[in-house]
Order: sequence, then C-alpha cells, then structure tokens
Amino acid sequence: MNLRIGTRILLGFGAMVALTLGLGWYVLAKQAEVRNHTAQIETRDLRALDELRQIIQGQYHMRALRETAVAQTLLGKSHQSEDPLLLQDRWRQSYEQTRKLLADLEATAEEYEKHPTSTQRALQWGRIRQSGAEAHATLKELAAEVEIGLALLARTDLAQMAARAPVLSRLRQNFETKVMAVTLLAQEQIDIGRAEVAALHDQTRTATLIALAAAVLLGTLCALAIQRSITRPLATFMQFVERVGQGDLTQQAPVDRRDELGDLARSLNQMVAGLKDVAGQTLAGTENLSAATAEILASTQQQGASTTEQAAAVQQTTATMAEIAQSGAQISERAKQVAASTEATSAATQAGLQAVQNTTRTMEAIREQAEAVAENVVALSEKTQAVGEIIATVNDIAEQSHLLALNAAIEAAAAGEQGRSFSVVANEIKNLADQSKEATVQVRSILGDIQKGINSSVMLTEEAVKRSESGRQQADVTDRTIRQLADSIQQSVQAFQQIAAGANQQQIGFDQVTQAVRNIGQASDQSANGTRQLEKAAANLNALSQQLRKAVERYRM
Amino acid sequence: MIDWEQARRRLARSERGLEQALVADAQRVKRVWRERAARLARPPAEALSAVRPFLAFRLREETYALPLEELGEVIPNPACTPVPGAPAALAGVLNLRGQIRPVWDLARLLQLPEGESGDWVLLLRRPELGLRVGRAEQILHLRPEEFRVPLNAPPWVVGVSADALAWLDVQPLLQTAAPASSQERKES
Repeated sequence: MNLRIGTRILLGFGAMVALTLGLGWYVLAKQAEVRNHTAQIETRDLRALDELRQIIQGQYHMRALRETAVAQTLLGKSHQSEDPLLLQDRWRQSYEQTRKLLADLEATAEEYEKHPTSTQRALQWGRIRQSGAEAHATLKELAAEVEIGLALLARTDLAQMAARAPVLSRLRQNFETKVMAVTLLAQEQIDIGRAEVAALHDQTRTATLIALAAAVLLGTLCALAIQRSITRPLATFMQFVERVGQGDLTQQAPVDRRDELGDLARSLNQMVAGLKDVAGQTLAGTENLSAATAEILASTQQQGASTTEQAAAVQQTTATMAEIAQSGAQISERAKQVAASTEATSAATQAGLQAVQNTTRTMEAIREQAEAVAENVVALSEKTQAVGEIIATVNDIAEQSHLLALNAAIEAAAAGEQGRSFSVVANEIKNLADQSKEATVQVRSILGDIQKGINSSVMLTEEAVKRSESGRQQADVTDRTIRQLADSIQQSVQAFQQIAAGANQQQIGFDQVTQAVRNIGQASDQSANGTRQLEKAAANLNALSQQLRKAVERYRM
Repeated sequence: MIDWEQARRRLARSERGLEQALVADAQRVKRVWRERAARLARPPAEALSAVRPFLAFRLREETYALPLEELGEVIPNPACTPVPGAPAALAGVLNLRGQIRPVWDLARLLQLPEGESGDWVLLLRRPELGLRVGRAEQILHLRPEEFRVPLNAPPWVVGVSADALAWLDVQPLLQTAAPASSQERKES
C-alpha cells in the first residue's frame, strides 16, 4: 500500500463520483430512449390514424358527390344546378386524392415495416399494409363501378342504374369495412406501442435499480478498504504510543510504509529518540543532582559539626580570655616585683666582675706551672734514652754469650766423651745468655711504655696550657658579658616599668575582646540554627532527587 | 680531680722498689746458686747414648737441624768474598783464620724461591765448607727415631720431627746442586 492516504481517500471519492455519474448518465440515456421510443410510436401511429381519417373523409366526400350527381339527374335540369360534368370531375379529383392517400398509407406502413421499433409492430405494420392494399383494390373496383354509374347517369339510364345500385352499395360497404379494419389494426398498433413503452419503462427501472445497487456495493467496498488500510496501522501505532506512555522506550515503530503512516512512524521514532535522549539526560542530570545533593548534605553536616566546634571554641576562647585577663594582672604585678629584684641584681654584677678578674690571674699562674711540668718531663725522657743505650750494650753481650755457647757446644760434641762436661757448661752459658736477652727485651718494652707515657704527659700538659689560655679568654668574655649584663639589667628595669603600664592597657583591650568573642558566640549559635535548617532542606532535596531518580528510572532505554 | 696524696704514695713506692731491685740481695744470689747446683747435680734423665745433639737453625720460615758432630763452628755475619764464574748456589769464599773455605747458600741449594739468604754461616767438618743459613737457634737433644721419613721426601731430608724440624743431609744436596764443584773439591 504505497499510496498516500489522501490519494487513497481522493481515489475513493473519485470512484464514488464516477459511479454516481455513470448511474445518472445511464438513467438519463434510458429515459431518452424511452422518450424517443414513445415519440416515434406516437408520431407513426398518429400519422397512420390521420391518413385513415382523411381516407374516410375522402370516401364520404366521394359518396356525397356521387349522390349529389344522382340527385340532380333525378330532379332534372330545371333547377339551376351544377354541371354534371363538373360534378364528375370533382368526384374524380376526390377519388384520386383518396386513392393517393391510400397509397401513401401503404407506403408509410411499408416504410415503418422496414424500420420497426419492434418485431411485433413490424408484423402489425405488415398487416396494416396488407389491409390498406385490399382497401386500395376495393376502392379501385368501387371507382370503376362509379364510373359506370356516372356514365349511365349521363345517359339518364335510370333503370340500368337501379339495376347496378346493389353492386355499388355492396362495393361501398366492402370498402368501408376494409377501411374500418385498417383503422382497427391501427388502433391495435397503438395498444402494442403502449405496451412496448410500458415494458421499456419497466426494463429501464430494473436496470437503474441494479446499477444503483452495484454502485452502492462498490462504494461500500471502497470505503471499507480505505478504512481498513488506515485503522490497522493506526492500531499498531496506538499500541506503540501506549507502550511509550508506559515508559517503554526500547520499541521502534515500523517505518516500512511510504505514506503518512510511515511519516507518522518516523516522527514517532524521532519522538521516542528525543524522549530517550531527554530521559537519558534527565537520568544523568538526576544522578548528578543526587550526587550534588548528597555532597550538599555531607558538607552541610560538616558545616553543622564545624559550627558546633566553633561554638565550643568560642566558649573556650571566652574562658581563655578571662584567664588571660587574670594573668595580665599577674604580669603587671610580677613586672613590678621583677623591677625591684633587678635593682638587687645590678649590685650583684659588680661582685661578679671582681671574681672574674681573680679568675684571670689564677689561670695565668696555672699556665706557668704547667709549662714547668712539661720541662721536667722532657728532661726525664732524655734520662730514659741513656737507660736504653745501657740496655743495648747488655743485649750485645748476651748475643755474644749465646754464640760463644753454641761454638763451645760444637767443640764439646767434637771432643766426644771427653767434652761431655764442657758441653753441659756450654749449655748453661747459653741458657744464661738467653735469660739476659729476655730481660733486656722486658726492659726495652718497659722503656717503650715509659716513653709513651712521657709523650702523652707532655701532650696533656700542652693541652692544659691551652685550656688555661682558653679559660683566661673565657674570663675576659665573661667580664665583657657581665658589663653588658649590667647595662641590659638597667634597660630591663625600664622595660619592666613599661610592661606594667602596658599590662594595664592590655587589661582594657582584653575586656573589649571578651565582649567581641561573646558576640561571635551569639553569631555562631545563629549560624548553627541556620545550618540545621540548611541540613533539613538538603535532606529534603536529597529525598526529592531520589524520587526524581525513581520517576526517571521508569523509562526503559 | 686527681688524688694528689695517692699519687705521691705511688711515687714513693716505685722509688723504694727501684732501690731494692738495684741493691744486690745476698739471699737472692744464694738461692740462685743453690738452684743451679741442684739442676747440674741431677743426672741426665735419658741415656746419653740414645739421644744425639742437633743444632736447630732457621732459614726463612722453616726450622732445620744438623747433627752437632758434623759442625765445626758457627759464625755470625762473616765477610764472604764472591767468586767470579762460580755456580749460583756458591755464595763466595770465607777466610777463616788463614784458611779459605767455600760458602754455599742453603736457600739456593734447597731451590727455595729467591729471597732472604740469612747472615749466619755454619762451618761443616766433613767436607770443610760453609752453609749460609738464617739464625742458629739452639742445641736440641733428640732421638733419631723421633724423625719420620715423609712420603716423596727429597734425598737430602733424613726425616721430619713432630714439631716440623727437618733433619738435613748435606752430601746429596751438594751432589745434586753442584756436581762440578764437588769434583773440583776432590782434585784439590
């Protein structure tokens, strides 16, 4: 069904209009046919009747003329009357006219027979023509008889005429009968025509009824087709839209059509896509909102906590300020006391200066004695050198004794049994030499220790001299320091007096600060109240965002 | 703070000790003489025939021994005159109271690595020659069976004692190291 709905409806209406037009045209055509038929029949029948009437009149005219002629003859020529010859001519004229009418009638009937409106009427026209022909023949016989009678009349042969009168009468009656038969046939023809017209009328009505029924049927079928082609897809779209309304955004409307319903499907899909987009954005926004409200809630709670802490801190600060004010008063008192005791310290520094000068002199004496000690120790070291030389001599002697003992032992061994006692002595000498050598080794070791001790003593003494020098310098530094101390003590006395004055001013300032801290405490209480309200509002906002989230989660995407 | 009183006491004590050590004590001298007499009067613990006297001497890180009866004299730091054209192991000749003796370097005879040769000379009786060694240590009285012959010992090692004292035989040393010099010695 690729036709658009508008086109389809237009086509349907067009079909209905065409059907109506066709039906109308058909009915009109049938009516025209009936009317033509009727007119033809009436024209023809009326013409035939008219000719018949003229024929009858002609016959009557001829009879009248003949009887007039007869009467004149009978009455004689006394009367001023018409010329009989003239009467005869008139009769002959009338006869000719009537005969011609009859011929016309025959011709008309023949013509109508050849072009009939129906078979029945053709047969009737045939019969009319035959009756007309018979009447024609009878008229000719009558005419011939009349001519004879006229000729007799002219000779005034009445007898003969009377003799011939029945023949004439019989012929005349015969002719009249014939004409009457034709007239009857013509009237029958009229009846036949009427019946035909009535039949034709009936037929036209039936055909019109059938065509009307067909048109109604076709129109109904057309309307049904159009209705079905629109309502079925619409039902699908209704279901689709209903599902979308229930929040199902996963569906797709079928877009395989090219008509308005296809457009509608595309629009619906776009709408669903837009809805999906909006729902997704809304969901994301809702999540962001939810997170943001959670953060707001958290930070509000933090703020509440910190406000509480702030209130506590303000209270602590108030207490601390009170303590500080108290200690400020103490500071003022103490500063006065310190100023008094500093006066005493100033006197003590003079004694300190004297003591430092004594120390300097003592250090100098220590240094001189330590230098004397170093001299003595160095002389001692030179003595140990002499001892060392003696020990070296003893060592040489021991070494030579050792060698001597070895060679003596060798000689004793060479002497064999005789040298045995000598070998013992040599061994003894060698032992003594070894002991002497060991003793010199010990003495040498002790001498080394003594030398080390002397060295360290000299170094220690040198260090002592340096320390005493350093002590003297320290004492000088102390001297200067104490002098500076005395100066600064003097300054301190003045400073403590200033401190005492400053502490009094500080006291006034502390009072003001305490008042300010009290104000801060009130402000932090108000802030705590505000934070609680804010927290409540944030909780409400959080609940709202949860509801919004649930509402958006109704969409399935 | 140093206790000066104690320091003075320690000084006086050391002074007294020094005086006592320097003055000859009659009792102490008498005790020393008595101990010596007792030691000399004691008979030898072992039969003299069973033991032999050895001179132990050092050469670098090792200690060697030679029987005392093979030796003639021990000389510390003699003046050796080098001989031109002599073998490497010959340290030189020594003028001993008018008699010229060859002196061999024991370290080179033992084919030890190059190093210190020592400054003592042992003069042997038979043959009459000197051996340059390290310091002569002492006389040891040992039984010959205390020396054990190790496996794969060179011919100049007679045996090795428990405390790693190597008993040397000079004759194979001279024959392996310098046969020409021994030949020369025979002709003279």
